[in-house]
This record gives sequence, C-alpha cells and structure tokens, in this order.
Amino acid sequence: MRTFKINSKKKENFKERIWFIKYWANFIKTHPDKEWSKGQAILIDSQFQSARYFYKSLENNSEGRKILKQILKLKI
Amino acid sequence: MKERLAGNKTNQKNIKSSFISYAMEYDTKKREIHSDKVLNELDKLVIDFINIIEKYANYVIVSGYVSILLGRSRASEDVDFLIQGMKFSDFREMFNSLINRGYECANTSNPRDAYEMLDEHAIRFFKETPVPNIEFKKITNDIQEEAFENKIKVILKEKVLLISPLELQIAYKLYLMAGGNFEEISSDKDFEDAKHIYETFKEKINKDKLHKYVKLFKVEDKFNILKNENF
Repeated sequence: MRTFKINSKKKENFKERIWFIKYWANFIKTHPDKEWSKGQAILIDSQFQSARYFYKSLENNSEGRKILKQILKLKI
Repeated sequence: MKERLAGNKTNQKNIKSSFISYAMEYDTKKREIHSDKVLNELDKLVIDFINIIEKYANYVIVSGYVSILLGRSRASEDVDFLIQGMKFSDFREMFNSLINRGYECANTSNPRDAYEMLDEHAIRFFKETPVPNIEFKKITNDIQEEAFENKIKVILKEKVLLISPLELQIAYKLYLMAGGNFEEISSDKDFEDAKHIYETFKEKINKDKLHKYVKLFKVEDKFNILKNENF
C-alpha cells in the first residue's frame, strides 16, 4: 500500500516536471531569446555564486582545505 | 544576424505586437542555430575557455551544457569538451595559456603528465573554484567521432560555439541514463535534457537520423516514453 502511494506520487511528480519541460520549450520557441535567457541567467548565476561562496569558505581554514582536496580527488 | 520574429504566426499572436525581437532559430541546411540569449556565468566561462583553446585544438561540446546553452533551466557542475588528438607542443602551449589566464588543471600542474593522462581519461580545468569546471577529453571512439564530424554551430552575438548534432545528443542522453524502467527515468536529468532538446527542436530535427541513433544506442523504449504526448 505504502509503495503504491510512493510510486503514484513519483509518477505525478514526473508528469509535472515533464509538463514544465514542455511548457518551457514552448516558451523558448514563442518568446525572444532575451526574455527567457534572463530568467535562465538568474538561476545559473545564483548557483555559481553559491558554489563560489562554498569553495571560498573551505579555503579559509585547514580542515576546509583538506575537504577541498578530497572533493578535487573525487572529481578527477 | 538575420532578423527573426519570435515563434510561428500563431504563437506571435500571443506576443505583444510592439515586441519585435529574436527567437532561437535552427537553420538545418546551414547547420546553424542563431541565438540572441543573454549570457549566464556558465556561457561566459565556456566562451572564455574557447577563446584560449581554439587556437590549438579542434573541439566539440557534448552532453549537459548543450541543453543548457539551448535554454534548459538547470545549472551544471561541468562542461564536456571533446578534442581531436593534438601534438604535445600544441597541448603544452595551450596548457600554459590556460594557466596564464587563471585556469588550473585539477589533475596535475605538469603539462606532460596532463597530456599523457588524456590517453587514459579526461582532465579537468577550472577557474577560481572547482565547480563549474571544463572536462577535457580526447576523442577515442566512433560515437565521439560522429559528434565531432557532424557538429553544428551555435551562433551567439559574442561567439560561435560548436556542439554535437541534436539528434545524436538526444539519443546519447537516453543511453547515458541508468536504466529503462519508470523508476529510473522519473528521476533522471539526462532524460529531462533529452526531452528539452526534443521539445524545443522537434519540428526541425532530422527524424531519420534520430531513429538511426536511437536504434544504434538501443534506447527505443526510452525514446517511446520521451515522445509520448501524454506525459
């Protein structure tokens, strides 16, 4: 019963995300690039700023620098 | 750049009549996509990187950033560049130019080591912080060669970028997914990237080519879900 509820919730969630992807694709096709890309830039730039803040804060102490090294190793 | 109105005639009715501007347009004959987009930080990083490497290396951009460049509303940790094989002397010059312009190679600071690593795996370059970074990979198989040989241009005001053909990009994204059952598809960013490109360019993409790639990657089931209008 519980599994069914989770699956049904997941399906609903998936449908909503796919609906939005279609909505957004249509928005891109029917609106000037400058309009949709402004929103996209706000989203991407804010994530950039968060990442920069996170890494800068790690560089500030020795424990953080160790973690940073580990992250770099994982990425490689 | 050619002047274009946003969308088709029906859609234009929905746009304020006073608003004349440019909408992304794919010219399939010329294999060019024109875009007037406002650049985000990721676009700027990619352009900066290309400005340095294009003198030394032939490249094509593949994977997630292609979807983002074409409007997908998500961020990414990395941008994937495929590079044709190059001489060590060119690589060393390119490597040093990147370092002089503020980039770091996450794998090594030695250009010879970095060059040799390319035979085994990708290397990563970043500026200031490790995220986002550029994944720099040598072309080693037929699929990557196909992406390179059939690359298309994305013409921005600031720069021309070379990307994988959209048909290959869609099929490859479906192939990259972990599995084909609903559980896996429902939480997969690769599926969503493929869906974004498909929905944005479905009137323009070459269906025969797309089916050829779908068959090649054996992703027919996932593709049927992707094009299902009920989702």
